[in-house]
Amino acid sequence: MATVSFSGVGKVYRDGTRALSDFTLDVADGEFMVFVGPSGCGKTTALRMVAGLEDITEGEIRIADKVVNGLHPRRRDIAMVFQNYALYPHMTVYKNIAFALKVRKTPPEEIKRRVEEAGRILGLSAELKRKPAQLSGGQRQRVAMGRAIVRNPQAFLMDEPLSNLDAKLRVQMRAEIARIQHELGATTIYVTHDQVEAMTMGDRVAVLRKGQLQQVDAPQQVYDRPANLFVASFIGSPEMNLVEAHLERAGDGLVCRLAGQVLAVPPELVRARPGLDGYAGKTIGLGIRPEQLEDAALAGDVPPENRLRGKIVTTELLGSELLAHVELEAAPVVTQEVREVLEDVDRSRVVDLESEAQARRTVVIGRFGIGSGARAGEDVEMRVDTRRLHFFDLESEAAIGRDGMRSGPDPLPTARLDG
Amino acid sequence: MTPQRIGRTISYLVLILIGLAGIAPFLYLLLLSFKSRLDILDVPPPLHFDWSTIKANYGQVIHDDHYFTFVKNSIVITGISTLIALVLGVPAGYAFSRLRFRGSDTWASTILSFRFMPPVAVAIPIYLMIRYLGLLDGYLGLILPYVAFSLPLVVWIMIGFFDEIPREIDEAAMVDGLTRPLVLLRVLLPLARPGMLVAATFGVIFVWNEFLVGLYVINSQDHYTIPIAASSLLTVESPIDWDVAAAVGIFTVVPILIFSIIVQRYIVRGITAGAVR
Amino acid sequence: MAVTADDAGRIRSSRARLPTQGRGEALLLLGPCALYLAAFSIFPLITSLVRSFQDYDTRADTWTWIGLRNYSQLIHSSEFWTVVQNTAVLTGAGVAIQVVLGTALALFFNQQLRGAWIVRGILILPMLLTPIVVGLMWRALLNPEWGVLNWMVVKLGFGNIGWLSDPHVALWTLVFVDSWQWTPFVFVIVYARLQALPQEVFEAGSVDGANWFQRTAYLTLPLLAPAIVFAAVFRSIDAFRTFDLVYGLTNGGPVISTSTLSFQAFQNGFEFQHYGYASAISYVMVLAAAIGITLLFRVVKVRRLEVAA
Repeated sequence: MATVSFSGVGKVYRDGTRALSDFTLDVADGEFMVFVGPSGCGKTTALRMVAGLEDITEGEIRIADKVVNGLHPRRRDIAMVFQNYALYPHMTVYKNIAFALKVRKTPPEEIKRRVEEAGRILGLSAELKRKPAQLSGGQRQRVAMGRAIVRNPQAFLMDEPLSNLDAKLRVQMRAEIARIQHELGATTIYVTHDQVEAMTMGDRVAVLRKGQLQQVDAPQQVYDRPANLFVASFIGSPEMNLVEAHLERAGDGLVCRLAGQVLAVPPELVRARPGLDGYAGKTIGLGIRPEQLEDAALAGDVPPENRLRGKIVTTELLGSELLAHVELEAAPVVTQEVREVLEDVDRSRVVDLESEAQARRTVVIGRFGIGSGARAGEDVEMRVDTRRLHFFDLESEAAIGRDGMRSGPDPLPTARLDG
Repeated sequence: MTPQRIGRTISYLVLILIGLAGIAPFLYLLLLSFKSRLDILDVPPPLHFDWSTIKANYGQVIHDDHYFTFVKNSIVITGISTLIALVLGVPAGYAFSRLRFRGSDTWASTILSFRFMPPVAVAIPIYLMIRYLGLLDGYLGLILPYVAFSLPLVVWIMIGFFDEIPREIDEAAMVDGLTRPLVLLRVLLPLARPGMLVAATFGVIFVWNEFLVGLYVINSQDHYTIPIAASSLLTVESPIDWDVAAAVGIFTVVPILIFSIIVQRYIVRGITAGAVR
Repeated sequence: MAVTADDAGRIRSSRARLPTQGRGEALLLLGPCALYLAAFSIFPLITSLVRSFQDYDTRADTWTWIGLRNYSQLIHSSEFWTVVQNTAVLTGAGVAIQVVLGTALALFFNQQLRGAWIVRGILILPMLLTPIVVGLMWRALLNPEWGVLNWMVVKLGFGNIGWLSDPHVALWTLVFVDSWQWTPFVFVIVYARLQALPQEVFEAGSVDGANWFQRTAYLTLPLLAPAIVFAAVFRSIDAFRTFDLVYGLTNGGPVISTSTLSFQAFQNGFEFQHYGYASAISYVMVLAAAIGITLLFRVVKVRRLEVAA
C-alpha cells in the first residue's frame, strides 16, 4: 500500500468547465479517506484522475511518491470499485475476480489461491461459479469489492460503491467495507454523496464544494467544528439549524438576540472562539444542531437565558426520539452556500427557505426526548445547549473563531461541474 | 353473437387478409413455377400439377442455368464482404461510442450519411475505379465496393450497441490492466455479440440483394450472383420464359426465407432500435 | 438517497476529452475504417462531383472539362423534370401511403389476436426480398394477358387495366408495389414503439373515460409521433433513391413514365456511357439527399440513431 498525494490538482474540461481547482491533499499510507460533497462538487473527478480515467489538466498526483500524470490506468496499480459495479456480465464471479490477475499473467495456482481467499473474506465462496446476473445487489457489490482486494494494489478507489443498495444493506456493507479496509490496511479513497457514510467510515473526511476543498478533518471534527456554512449545513442529519442572530454585549459576556429572545453565550465558548468578541453589535449566523434543542419540560431547571420559545409546526415520532419542527421568530440564514446544499436535496427546499426569510420566521428542528408532550399547534419552550453553539460570518460564510481553515476564493459561478 | 364476438371475428378476417396480402404474391410465384409455359396462360391457374413439369422447370434452372454457381458466388461474396465490414466497422463503432475527440460527432454522422447516399452517385466512379484496378469480373471487384456500402451500417449499429454497455466496464478493464484495443477484444466483443449479429444480418441482406454495381462489374456467368442472374432473365426487351423465371424467383426467395426465419429477431431489433430507444 | 446524483457528471466526464495516452489507440481503432471509407466512399463521391463538370468520350476514353454544361443541359431537359416529378410522386405519395397503412397495421396488431405473430413474420419478408424478384413477382401478377390481378378486376366488372403499359397508371403501380414492399418497415418501427409505451397511460385514459378513438387520437398517436416521423423521413430518403424496383418492374417505361432520378442516372451512365451527364444527375441527388439527411438528424438525436436495411 502507498500514499496518494494531490498537489495543486485542477481539472478543466475542453469546453472550459472547471471541475476541480487547486486541490491539495495527502492521503496517508493505510488511511481511509472519504471525499464527500453534493453532486457536481468534483469528488468523482478527483477520484477518476487518480485512476487515470480523466486527464489531469493542472498539478500533480503522486501514488507512492511517483508522479502518475499521463500514466495509463493499468500502469498505476490501483483498484477501483464502481458505483454500478461494472462487473463483466459474461464472466463468472470467479473469472471476474481473477481477471486482473490473469491479465497480469499471475500463475494459475496463485490466482486460484487468491480468488478463493477473496471469496472467503467476502462470503462469496458458494457463488464463484455464478454469473453476475444471478446475484443479488449485495452479492454484486461484494464481487466488485473482491475484484479490488484480490489485487493487493497501491490504493483502493471507491466511487459511491453503496449507492445502489437499499438502506439496510447499505448499513451492513458500510461496516463490512470498513472492516475489510482495516484488515488489509489498505490506502483507500472513498467517494460518496452520503454524509452519513462519510461520517461513519472515514479516518478523515474531505468536504468539497464546486471543485474546491472546504475542509479536511476527522469526521467528529468536521461535525463539531465545520469550517463554514457550507460544511455546517451539508454535514449532519437533520441539518444544523441556522438562524440570523444579533450578537450583543451584556455585562462582560455576549448574548445572541433573536427577535425578542435572548441566548447567553457561555464565557468559555467566547474564549474558545477568538474574534467572536469583535462581532458584538453585528448580525451573525447562529448554528444550533437539533440535538442541542430539548423540550424544556424534560430538561429540569433551565435558566431563561438558555431557552428559546416557538410554535410547534409538526412533530415526527421516531420511537427513540421526537423530532419537533418549531417555528421561531427569527430570519433563517440564506447565503449562497446554504442555498447550494438545499438545492442539492431538492429545488423546492430553496423556495421554502426564501419564503421563510420573507416572513422572517425559521422552522428549526429539535430532537426531543420521547417523554415530550409537544403537540403541533402548541407553543413550546426549548432548552438550548449553548456550550456548543456555532457562529458564522454572514459575509464570508466562514465559521467565526476557527483559525485559518478556509480555502481559496469563491468558485466561478458559471461552473457546471462533475461530482 | 355478441357485438364483441362480431368484432373479434372481423378482426380475424382482417388478420387473414393482411397475411394473404403479404404472402399471396409468393404463393402465386410458386404456383407459376409448377406450370408449363402454356398452362400459365390459363386464368385463373388450375390447381393441378404435373411432377414432370416441375422437374423440368427447376431442373433447367439448376443444370442449364448453373443456379448453384450463383448461390456459391453469392455466399462467398456476401460472407467475405460482411466479415471485412465487421472487422473494420466494429472497432470504429467502439471508438465512436467511447472516445470523444475533435469532430467525433461530425465524423460519425458523416459516416452514417453514406448509408443514405444514392448508390448511383458512387456506382459510376466505383465502376471506373474497379476497371482501372483491373478487377472487373472477379470476386474482389464486388467485395471491395460491397464492404464500403455496408460499412456505415455496421458502424452505426455497433455505436448503438456499444452505447448500451456501461462505460464503467471498459474503465474497470483498464484499471484491471488492459489497453483499449484489448478491452474491446477480451471484454466487449463477447458482450457485443448480439449487436454484431444485427450488424451482420443487415450487411448480409444488403450485399445479398445488391445488383447495381454487380450488373456492370461482372460480365461472365461464372461470376454472377443471384440477383445478377435473376436480372439477366428479366430484360424487358425479350419475352420472359415465365415458367423458368418463376422457378428462379422461388430459388431466390427460399434462401432469404430461411435466413429471415433464423435471424428474425435481429431484423426487428435492427430496424426498431433507432426509433424506439 | 441520491443514487444517480453524479450520473450527469459521470456520463459527461467519461466521454470527455480523450486521455492523452489514448490517441494512438483511437487511431488503431478508427484508422482502418476511415481509410477504407476514404478510398471507396469519399473518393468516388468527389470523383463524381468532378466528373459532373466533364464530358466523357467513349472511344478515346478521355475526359474534357465542360464546366456547368451538364447541369444546364439537365435543367433544360424536359425529360429530367418528368423524372423529378416521378421521383417526387414515388417519394411523397408512396411514403404517405406507407406511413398511414403502417400505422394502421400497428394499431391493428396492438389487439391481442391469436396467431398474429405468424402474420407479423410474413410481413417482414417483402422488405428482405431482392427487388429484382419483387419486380418479377409483380410483373407476373400484373400480366395483362394471364395475370391474376387483371382477372380479378375483370371479374369485379371493370375493364382490363394496363398496370405497366398505360403511362398514366404505371407510376401508380410502382407506388403500389413499393408500398407493398415497404409498408411493413413503417409497421415494424411503429409497432415496436407502441409495444414499448407505458401501459399505465392508456389505463389512466380509460379510467378518465376516453373511448378507443379518443385514446388513439389523444394518447396513442401523439406518443407514437416520434416513431412515425422517424419512419417517414427514413423511408423518404430511401424512396428518393429507388432504383432496383424500377429496374425490375418497369425498366422506367412506358417511355420514361416510371423513371426515377436514380434510374435516369443509371441509364445515362451505364447504358449510354454519358458518365458526365449521369454524374450531374446523381449530384443533384446527393444534394437533395444531404438535405434529407440533415432533416433526419434533426428528427433523431444523432448519437441514438441506429439504422436498418
